[in-house]
Amino acid sequence: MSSDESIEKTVKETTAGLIQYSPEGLVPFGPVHPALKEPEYFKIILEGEKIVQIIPRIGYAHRGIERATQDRTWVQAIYLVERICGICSFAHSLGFVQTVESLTEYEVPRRARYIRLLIAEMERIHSHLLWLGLVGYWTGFDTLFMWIWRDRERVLDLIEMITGNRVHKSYATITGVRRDLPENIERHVQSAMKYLSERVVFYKEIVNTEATILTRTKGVGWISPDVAIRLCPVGPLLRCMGFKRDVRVDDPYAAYDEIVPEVKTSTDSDILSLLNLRLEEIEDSIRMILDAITAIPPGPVKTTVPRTIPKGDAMGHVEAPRGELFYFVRSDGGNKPTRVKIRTPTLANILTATEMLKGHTLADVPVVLTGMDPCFGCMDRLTVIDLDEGKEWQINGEQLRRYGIEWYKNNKRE
Amino acid sequence: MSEVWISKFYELKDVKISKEKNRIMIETSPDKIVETCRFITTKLGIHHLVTITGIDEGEKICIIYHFWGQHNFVNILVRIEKTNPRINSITNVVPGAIFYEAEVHDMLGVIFEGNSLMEGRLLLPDTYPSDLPPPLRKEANPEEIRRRMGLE
Amino acid sequence: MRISLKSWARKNSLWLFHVNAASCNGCDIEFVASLTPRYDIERLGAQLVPSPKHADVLVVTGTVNPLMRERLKRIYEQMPEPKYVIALGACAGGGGVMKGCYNVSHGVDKVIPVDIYIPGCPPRPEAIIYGLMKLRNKIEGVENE
Repeated sequence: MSSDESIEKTVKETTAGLIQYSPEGLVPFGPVHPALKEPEYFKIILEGEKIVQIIPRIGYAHRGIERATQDRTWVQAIYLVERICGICSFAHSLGFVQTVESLTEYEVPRRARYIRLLIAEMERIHSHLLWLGLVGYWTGFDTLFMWIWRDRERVLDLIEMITGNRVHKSYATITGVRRDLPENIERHVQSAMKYLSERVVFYKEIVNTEATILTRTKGVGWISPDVAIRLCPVGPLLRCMGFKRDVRVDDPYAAYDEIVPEVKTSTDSDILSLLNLRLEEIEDSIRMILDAITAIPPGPVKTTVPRTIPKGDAMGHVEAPRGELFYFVRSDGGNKPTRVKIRTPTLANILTATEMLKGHTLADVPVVLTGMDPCFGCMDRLTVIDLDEGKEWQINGEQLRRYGIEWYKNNKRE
Repeated sequence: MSEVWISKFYELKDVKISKEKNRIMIETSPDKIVETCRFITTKLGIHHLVTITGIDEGEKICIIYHFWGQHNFVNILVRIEKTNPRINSITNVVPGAIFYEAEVHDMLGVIFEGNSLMEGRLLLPDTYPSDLPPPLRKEANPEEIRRRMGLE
Repeated sequence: MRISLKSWARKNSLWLFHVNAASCNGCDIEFVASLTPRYDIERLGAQLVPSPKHADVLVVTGTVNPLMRERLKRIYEQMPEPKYVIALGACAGGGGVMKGCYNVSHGVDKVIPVDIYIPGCPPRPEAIIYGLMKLRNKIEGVENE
């Protein structure tokens, strides 16, 4: 698509009506319509049974962290930044620390880079398993949810053995990691990975044969790749459309230049392919962890943690479990950051996910929105506006989940 | 980076280009932003906009557009006056920019002409006092914001 | 020690409604993990319910930001008596690491009354179980030491 008219036409088709949706005869509304007193997370507009537009509003988790980093020292800012998200907290701290390191002259020791890879891949496994369990939960397959979260505990045990905590690890620091691996950790890592690789084979079989999951995910949420690429998605959502993009391979960091990931893609851009893609990524992570734990070199785990960072602008990105996580840091030579800008992968994917839902029914909303792997709070509260009957009502996440399960028992998607 | 690819940058006029490892910075004036973005998406073939950063530098507001493609960060840096913070929106060229521009609008008060989200709020609560400066400006004081919004 | 029939019935079937009030999701995933087979608070009679109208206990995580304050108050009012509130995590307890940010409340108790605080960033599932046991003691009227 190189001509300007076709670009403009694509833009009108995709973002038209994002806010100023006004069908003939009905009231147009914006993000702060006077009749809707409560700010909602998602406003869903229905015509009959089909969704015509979804309008997201994302102030629910805004806490003012970018401003708060300016009042903290460099090391204190690491602990603040990792609490942006509990599921990918190591990715946040790694992204911040790597960006700050590129402003200094220090080199990260090889052993530290391997350890960073280990923890980053373990976090990827834990995040993908968490997501898979949630898909089971949303589609009514509670047993799958319980099984997967039980298996996820094995990874959390490993993380706790190495870093001391399950969720907020506080493990990365400027120029390295804070402490070394414990003795005899290889034995625990190998037994946990062996157990998990058997379980992943089992889950792949379930996901591809179980009717509960297939009816709700096969063919659901399809979007044309040419349209989607202009909306700038990242992560597994981008890879399930056939684009081979992964920050670990395009711009290697930590030890990814020595232990190279295999980037998996798929070409049917629906939710079922996302499920398979994430399961394959777990298998690849298991392989990388086993390679890293046998090849890890001896040496120090950090160089020196500086108090002040030289003046300059730096940018860096990492592949968090959900996609590309970007950091921009500006330093004025002092002991506090001047500006930290963070772009989380969920923000980049919201536009694509809402476009995927056009033409689907309300029962598909939980599965497709979960497909882009958002944070929990996203689904807490939604307003549904039915254009045909001219009424609106509120629904919360749990009610939507039950509605979806009931709908699929009694109806079929065309 | 191939020589052919680097030579394409010489087609841009009135810009200052600097390169460090795989980070390229194009400094240009605000009225040329749409043209420069169009150059990046069509001539360089880079469609992925990573994000848009806004920084308050005292008298000017610095806006950096980050693109990633061909194993390089290609960034565009513009500076606008704080007394008249307006700039053209690039959503006609890069539709994915809509939320990033809305975020800079919320946090720094910059108006992107042509972006349909300029009337409402994306991140800040609706009770944010409209007479206080946006939170990432240097003159904004978190304690005063807390007091005015009724947070103890 | 005598305990009334009502107290005994209440403490053995705590129905929980979970609200995420602008949290980083760390406390939420540890809370949901405490429902899964390794920690299993369902054996204590606790279960999640979809609506505050069916709930005995409100579990709140996060730094209640202005968008959530009104909603939290309304959810609390919808719960029938007797009702209890658990503030889960450091942010819900008193602001946590986000203290001083322009968009957070310093604790859930600035918005609704709280019965039990479970500290931690995030608290482990064992700590969540311990907090639930303290709540059971409180319902029973036993002194918490």
